[in-house]
Amino acid sequence: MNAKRSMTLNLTDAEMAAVDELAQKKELSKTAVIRQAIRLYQMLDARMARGEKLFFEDEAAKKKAELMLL
Amino acid sequence: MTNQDSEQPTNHQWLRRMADLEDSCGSISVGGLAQDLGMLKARRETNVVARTAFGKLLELARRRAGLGVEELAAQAATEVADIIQLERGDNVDLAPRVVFQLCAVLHLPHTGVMELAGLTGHREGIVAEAAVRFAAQSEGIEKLTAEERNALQEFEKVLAKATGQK
Amino acid sequence: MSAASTQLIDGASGLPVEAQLHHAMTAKDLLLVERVWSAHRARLMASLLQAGVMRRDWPQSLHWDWSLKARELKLLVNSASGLVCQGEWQGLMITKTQPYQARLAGDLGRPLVYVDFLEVAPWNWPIPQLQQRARWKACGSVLLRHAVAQSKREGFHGRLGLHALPQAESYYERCGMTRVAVDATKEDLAYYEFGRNEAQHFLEGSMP
Repeated sequence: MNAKRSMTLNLTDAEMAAVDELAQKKELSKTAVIRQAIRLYQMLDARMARGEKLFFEDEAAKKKAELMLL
Repeated sequence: MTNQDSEQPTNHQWLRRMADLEDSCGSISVGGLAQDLGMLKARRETNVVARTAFGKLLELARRRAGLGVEELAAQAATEVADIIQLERGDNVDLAPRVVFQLCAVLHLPHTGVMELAGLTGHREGIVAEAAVRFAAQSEGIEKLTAEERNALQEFEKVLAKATGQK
Repeated sequence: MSAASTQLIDGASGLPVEAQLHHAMTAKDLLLVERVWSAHRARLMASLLQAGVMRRDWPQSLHWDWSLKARELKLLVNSASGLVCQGEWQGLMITKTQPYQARLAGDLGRPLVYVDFLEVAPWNWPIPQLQQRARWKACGSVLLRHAVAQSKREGFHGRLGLHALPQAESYYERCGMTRVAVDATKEDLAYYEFGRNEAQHFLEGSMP
């Protein structure tokens, strides 16, 4: 489908461990984890640039907090 | 690329089976996007005041035109039961097309009326305020009194103004 | 926009015909399709009115005007695909790779492809009240198959989710999708999901 290009990613041990953990939990390859992360980041950024706000809601604790994306 | 099997051309047996399934089920439409766009909102309850005002408006405009409920239903290509429910202020699942037809038959400004019927985005203010006044003033008696006629005319002016702003 | 060859069923002869599956459609493509389809929908609406068909029996997707959503296609999470047969657009689909997640017990929280929009051209709707039969059949199924393929390609193992319009619920049930919930936040539409095994059965045509 789309042509793909490669890049080398330099991650710390902790970051690599996080990628590994997510890959296992989500049943994804490490590449797929990174791609999902990029898509999510782009989508959130676009929506917030339009003036929308991002909230996390904890129904049990009845807490709702705005998440700042920098 | 993994799982090439799913990318391969579909086989004829599968295609025929799915063609029959689509035929017998009638629709395959998916609605996530429709919900996002607010296109399913016609099913949502419109507020009571707007509904009452819409009912009154419909009734007075119909009587002014000298039409019975059945005649209006026939001319607007809708059902008698819908007109009765609408005039009563019931929450009716309205297609924009029906409102459009009713407006055409009764010579009402359609954009303002669509807004009143909850089919287009609400702009708080003029229409809502006028709807409250109108709903409070009008009574459902047989012949249009001078006051009713005035109330109807005033409300139509506001609706027409809303149309002009769009 | 690139295309792959596929097949549909000719509604008149019942025989397979060649078609093209286009992916990476742009907002402009969608607007062009919508222009043709909306004109046809308006004619259908007039026929339904004339035939005195009760409104509750009208196709529920008669009021699509999703050209409004076109700008979102620039985002990586969205992709639009369409089917062309004999020079006309026969079906369209928009899918998302985020932010929806699997809700079936065994797959909870795992990524899936969410079908945001799936529709076939109005001349492909079977409408018994108007004696209208689908001109091209299996358009929806070929697109759904493409969505499952996308899910596999993404590494989501065929997992798929969607909110069906009420008239389409029986179709997705018979495709083997599981009805997970009725979502109040989606105007009470029913949410259906393919787990990896059910998706595979759908591709093979071996669903129950």
